[in-house]
Amino acid sequence: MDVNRASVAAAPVSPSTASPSLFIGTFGVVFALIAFFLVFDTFVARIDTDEAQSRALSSFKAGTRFFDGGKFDDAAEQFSTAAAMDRENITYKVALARVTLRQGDMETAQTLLRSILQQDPTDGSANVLMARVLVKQGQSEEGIAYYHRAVYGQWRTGEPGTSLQARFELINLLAATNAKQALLAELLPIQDQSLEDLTLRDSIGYLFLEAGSPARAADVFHQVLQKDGKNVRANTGLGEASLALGNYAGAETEFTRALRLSPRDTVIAFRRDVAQNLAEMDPSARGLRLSDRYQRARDLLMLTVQTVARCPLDSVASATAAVADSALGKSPGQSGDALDDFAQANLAIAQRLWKSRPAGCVSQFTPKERALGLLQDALAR
Amino acid sequence: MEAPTAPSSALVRWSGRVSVLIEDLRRKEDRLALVLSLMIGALVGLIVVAFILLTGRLASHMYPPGGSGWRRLLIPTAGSLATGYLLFKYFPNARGSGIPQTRAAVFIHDGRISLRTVLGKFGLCSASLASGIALGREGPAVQIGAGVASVIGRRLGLSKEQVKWLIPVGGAAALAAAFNTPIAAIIFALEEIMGDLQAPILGSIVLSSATSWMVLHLVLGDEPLFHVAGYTLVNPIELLFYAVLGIVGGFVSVAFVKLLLALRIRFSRLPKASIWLQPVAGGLLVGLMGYFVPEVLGVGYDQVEKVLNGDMLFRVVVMLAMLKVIATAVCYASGNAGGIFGPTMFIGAMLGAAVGQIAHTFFPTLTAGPGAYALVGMGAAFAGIIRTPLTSVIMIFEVTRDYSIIVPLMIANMLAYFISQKFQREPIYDALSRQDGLHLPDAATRAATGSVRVVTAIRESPEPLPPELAASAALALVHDTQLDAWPVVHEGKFLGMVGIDDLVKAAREDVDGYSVQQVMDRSRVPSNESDAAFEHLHTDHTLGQALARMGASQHNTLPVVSRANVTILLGLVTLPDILRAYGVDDAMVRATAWT
Repeated sequence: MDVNRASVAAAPVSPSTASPSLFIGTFGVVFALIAFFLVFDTFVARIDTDEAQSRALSSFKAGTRFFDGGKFDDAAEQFSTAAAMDRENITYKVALARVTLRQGDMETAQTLLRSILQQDPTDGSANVLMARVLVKQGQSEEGIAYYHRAVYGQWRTGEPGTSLQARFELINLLAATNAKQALLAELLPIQDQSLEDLTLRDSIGYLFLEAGSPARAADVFHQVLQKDGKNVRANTGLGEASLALGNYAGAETEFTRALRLSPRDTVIAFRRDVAQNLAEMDPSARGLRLSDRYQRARDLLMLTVQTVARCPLDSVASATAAVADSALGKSPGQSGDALDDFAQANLAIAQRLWKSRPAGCVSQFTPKERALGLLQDALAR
Repeated sequence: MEAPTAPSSALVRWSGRVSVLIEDLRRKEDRLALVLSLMIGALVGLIVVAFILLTGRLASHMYPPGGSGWRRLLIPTAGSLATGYLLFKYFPNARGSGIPQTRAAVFIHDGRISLRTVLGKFGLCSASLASGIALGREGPAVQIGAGVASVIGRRLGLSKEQVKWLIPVGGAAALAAAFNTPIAAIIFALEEIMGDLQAPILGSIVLSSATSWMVLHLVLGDEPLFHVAGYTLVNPIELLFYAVLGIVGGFVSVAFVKLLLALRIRFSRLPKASIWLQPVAGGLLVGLMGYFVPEVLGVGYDQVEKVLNGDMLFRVVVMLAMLKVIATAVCYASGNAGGIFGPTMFIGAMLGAAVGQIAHTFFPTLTAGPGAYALVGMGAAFAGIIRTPLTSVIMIFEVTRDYSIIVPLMIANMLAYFISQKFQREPIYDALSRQDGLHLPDAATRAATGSVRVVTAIRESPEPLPPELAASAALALVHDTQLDAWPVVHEGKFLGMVGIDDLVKAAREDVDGYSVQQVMDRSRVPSNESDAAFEHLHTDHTLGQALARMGASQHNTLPVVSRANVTILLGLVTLPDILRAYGVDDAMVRATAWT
């Protein structure tokens, strides 16, 4: 026999010396045993699986009760048992990861979530939990990627959380990190969702404001107010949207309405006063006569000089302040062109002076100060 | 009247074909080997799955959820008493692990493992393990698998040698199903059972292991033995901690093996009449431990999975490691049926977790969690106790399907292996066999036998014959009586060997004068290697292979040629040369040389 050849092929079995009947009989017995054990094993395995699944479900239910009662250690033990008994069931694993996260064990939670996502990368709950872990660890970019997978992932019925909630978590994260463009991109797909849930729609409106899209925010608030005209949050939101759009008079009206519905709300009162001041101070308001525009520009310059004068000024700011003082001493006469030129010049000086002030020196505690700040921002834009 | 005869003639034709096929199978060794490998793989796989399922079901009935603590004391005691008596009375060969018995079947008993032993091992091990005895199921599974293969081989009327070959085939199939590790099963069968990684039955072992694994997946699905979160090396410095784990694992392995062997000697010195009662010592001890610490009971794979996922406290893992070492040693030594594979993994995992927790507490940023160390610890303990380092690395990969921690695993394994080798020279299975009075060939012996190469026996070639020389003239030149064949070379190219007897015969027969070339062509025996026209050897062939080729060529003298060019003659090897290389006395060689 050739040893080399045998080593790569099958074993060197010599011909059988058994009689043909014994030979066939042995094969018959072996095949019968294979059939028997196949049936037996499959049957017992099925019973085992059913029992394990049933016990896993009981553990999961017990774990859920513990979780709802705030007993996270007990819940973790039950979820762990459930996950071990029914390994195919991702819900149990996700529940275990969730409770582990609640226990504050980020490392273990992350490991668990990795294994779940390896099993099913599209699982919505697991992706959201992983996103939370990463965000807590300061890895916002990776967290955002997991949020995206959660939003477009699979969500099983009966599990806490939905795709929309995942999107809102992402939106809140983007709002917190001031990622306006990404925030707007996330808000647009849900602009027309949840029409019945007015609280949610209010939130969407405010988020549009944070994303720098006051027109869309105003649309949302209008829709809310059509359904509930006495909605304070929507009125306030609409006031804010109007403020952002430069419609100070409109903003004042909305804040006044909101204040009528909630008279003790000092925040709305403050915002109403700011809007009122803006409406009175805005030199670019439509329909103003040239003389009024000039007067408002001069008043704005004067207010800026008075406000900035409270700050310690450097040489550049002092020089600008001197220029502003000089400008305030000049008179344009009654010619229309001159009034316009002086108005423009005063506004330009006011902006320069505002920019040259030391950062953070000017308080915006009073409505007038806040209005000045907003107006300067609007002029700068 | 034609119609009724058609089916019967078809039946006759069909049965005729079947008869031809069966006869073909009986006569053609390659086909029979193939069919047997598949058949043994499938049957052994299913039997082992049944063994695992039955053990699990029995255990779940013996220890229902919320059962009383007294059960944990009484059941192992009663279980060991019952199984101990049955082992003593009816199934004496089913005691212990099954690996030493399987090796004994290969090296001593001509591949014989009785059906009674197989049945005893199946039933009693299942009952014993289900009752909570702190032993494993893999060793017994290997003996069951090997036994099934042995029974089939003998029923088919195969030769003793062939039945012997089937033992590792059955053993590999069993281990593949028991551990869900088809590759490690192949390597284990070669490394531990056969003691030769180049054994010529590799093909059959691979087939049976793969078939068994497929059957396992068909019935139980695609689940690894342990589910482990992906671990990686956090920092290269971490390798130091893994090295420490390897060292600790090595010493604990030595302690475990020495304790087990020492206890076994103590038990063997007890009166013979007490053999049936001795297993109770293990059952009672485990029961007492299990009453207070239930995790000690049984194989403990649930606990291993927990610790692999970093889910245990330091004091718990240390306590479990210590208790398991004692419980397993006593259970095994007292003669219960069960293996040490499972407990080895348990001990290693607990030990690894303990080392990992210490490392992670003091160097949290440099080290992975204790689960990673538990994983490596399993491998280290396996390499230290079972002494199959290659199997242990592959097995950990397959058991956990985690390939990310290979380097630490190899380092820890090797350190544990070397320490164990240094302080416990005899591997555990060899020592167990020796305690039973069986002198199995140890690894060194097997390696030496298998690896003595042709290069150690080669002799210088005599002056070769030219092919055109007349046979009678050639006979005159051939004067070395030790050679029964002579090299023939033409223009520096080796052409083959011409037999002295053939030359004599040709010289007698032919008056016109046969040339050496003609004599050689007339009596040429085709080579097993397709690219050479004559039987030959290379310097790296083993002497066993040389003997096999001498048998095939019917010559006691074979040429040794270059692997790069078979027409380059490097020398000759004769049968006496081989005997001398094995250390046979020269006088004996001379006496037997040409008889």
